[in-house]
Amino acid sequence: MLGYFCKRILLIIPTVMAVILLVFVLMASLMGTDTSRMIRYEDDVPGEAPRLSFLQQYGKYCFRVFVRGDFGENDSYNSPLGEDLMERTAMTLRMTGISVIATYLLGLPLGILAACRRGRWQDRLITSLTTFFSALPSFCLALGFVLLFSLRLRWVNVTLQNDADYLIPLATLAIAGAANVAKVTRAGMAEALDRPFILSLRSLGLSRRSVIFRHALKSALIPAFSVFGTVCANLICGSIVVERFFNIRGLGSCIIGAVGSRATTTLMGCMTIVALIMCVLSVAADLLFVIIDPSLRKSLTFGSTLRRRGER
Amino acid sequence: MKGARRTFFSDPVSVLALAVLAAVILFCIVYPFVSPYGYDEVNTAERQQMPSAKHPFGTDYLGRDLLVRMAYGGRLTLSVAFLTGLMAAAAGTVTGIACGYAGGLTDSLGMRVMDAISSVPGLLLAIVFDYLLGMGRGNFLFGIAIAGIPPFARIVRAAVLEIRQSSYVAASRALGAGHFHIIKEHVLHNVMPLAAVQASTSVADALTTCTILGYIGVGISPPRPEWGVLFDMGRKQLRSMPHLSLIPAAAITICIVCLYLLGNGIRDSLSARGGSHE
Repeated sequence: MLGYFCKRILLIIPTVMAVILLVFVLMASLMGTDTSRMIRYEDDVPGEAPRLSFLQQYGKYCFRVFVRGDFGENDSYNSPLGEDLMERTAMTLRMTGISVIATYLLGLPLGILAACRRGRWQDRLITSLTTFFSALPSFCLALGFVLLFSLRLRWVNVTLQNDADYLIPLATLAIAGAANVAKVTRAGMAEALDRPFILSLRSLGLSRRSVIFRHALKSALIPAFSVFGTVCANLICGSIVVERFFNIRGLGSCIIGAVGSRATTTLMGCMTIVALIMCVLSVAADLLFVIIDPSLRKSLTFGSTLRRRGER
Repeated sequence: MKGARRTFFSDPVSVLALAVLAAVILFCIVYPFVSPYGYDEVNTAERQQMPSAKHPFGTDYLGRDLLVRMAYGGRLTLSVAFLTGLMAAAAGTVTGIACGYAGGLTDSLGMRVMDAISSVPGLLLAIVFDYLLGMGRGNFLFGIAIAGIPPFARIVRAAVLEIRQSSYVAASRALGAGHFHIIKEHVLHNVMPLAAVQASTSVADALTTCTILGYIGVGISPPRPEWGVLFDMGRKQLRSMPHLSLIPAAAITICIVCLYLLGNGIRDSLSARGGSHE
């Protein structure tokens, strides 16, 4: 198992490099013939910029990013991009982290409740709410929250002046994710409750609560955490919208800005960081998976790949 | 099929959803012909008006009538949603049938490609497509459509695997039917209802992605009044004129909810008939 995760962690860098190469190729094809200066560097001397071939540029970029942590120079003003990106990434990660926790704290109990009350009004209410909220675009939800809590009730400030004001963007992010988690948890829990061993445990005299929380829950958690990677990816995507809505200086608003002003160096940096985050998340999701489902542990050797039981 | 249709139309919720959706689409098609205003008709004398008899949805900062802009926006948004949703449906059904029916290497290869696509969030895919393949040429459509393929392919594939095992396919093959005949007569026929359910979900998802793209300024951008674009324009006057954002947001929400209810209605009517493959 250790070997497996060592391999996965080592594979992150080549994967990110492959993503960078892909974006480089696509960006080069977009820019046409003059691909000599896709990335701006601080130590570039104006006028006598070295004309590097495509592969040389790619090599230089990877070297700078991975060895020196240098993402080049900001497209719009002359400052190193790295610091700006790190600040923004920290902001986005902080928000994503909090909302992931909130997502599971909200989604798991709702899913379990719906499964245990299958067919009754609690189930129907939760199922329709989860369908509704997982489909609703996050900006509609954000608008509703702002109109209600900020403009009418005046509980929080839209301009996000203190920490409590961040509750609205965080709630916006967490609710869509929680709806998905609840949906999956409900399905997993319902399936677990239908299994024969639950009936036999009940007939042995165990209380309903103990059967649900000590036995059924274990197998219901597997599908719930198999969507961990997807939930995180959606949250990072959702942060693009939420950061724009609330004017938060994060990675998402950076991507939009870069696309709008065609800032290649910035976009490249954002893409690299997003790819890195996604890779780390995927490893983290697998690790989480192995912790929940110990039966997977034995099969994990250096050369193997993880096949998840809960995944469709 | 006839029984399923009767079940569908006997459910008031599904009928209501269908009626609302039809009304919205009809309104978007017809209203621009009827309206006295154009969608980009600037009228500085009537700027920033609240809803009134003359302008039922009010006007924006340039005095443009929001109602007619909503109708034009609806044409754009809904046609993008239906086009990309159905593109995903077609491609997903073909992929699912190919993978499920052929099996073996085609299946595992195809499913790995689907895994790879679904590991990238749809929104990011659309942004990247639009940016890298050139903006303003509708390339984001392919991004939205491609992101919709994997769930479709998975559902169809699972159904095809089951159909392939069934006795009527075996009987058909024993009678000398070719692959093409089996796919056309048995597989496609049985997969279609399932695909119809998933198609409504996929159109709803496409609608979500499309409006988010409009909102963040990728794909369809001003002056074309896509619903997401309209929402974003209203956001700047949230305090004084919340209806400018609220109306597009409500329209988006209503359409999405109706599409989901429609999908649920189709699924329920099919499972009531007892002929669907889950």
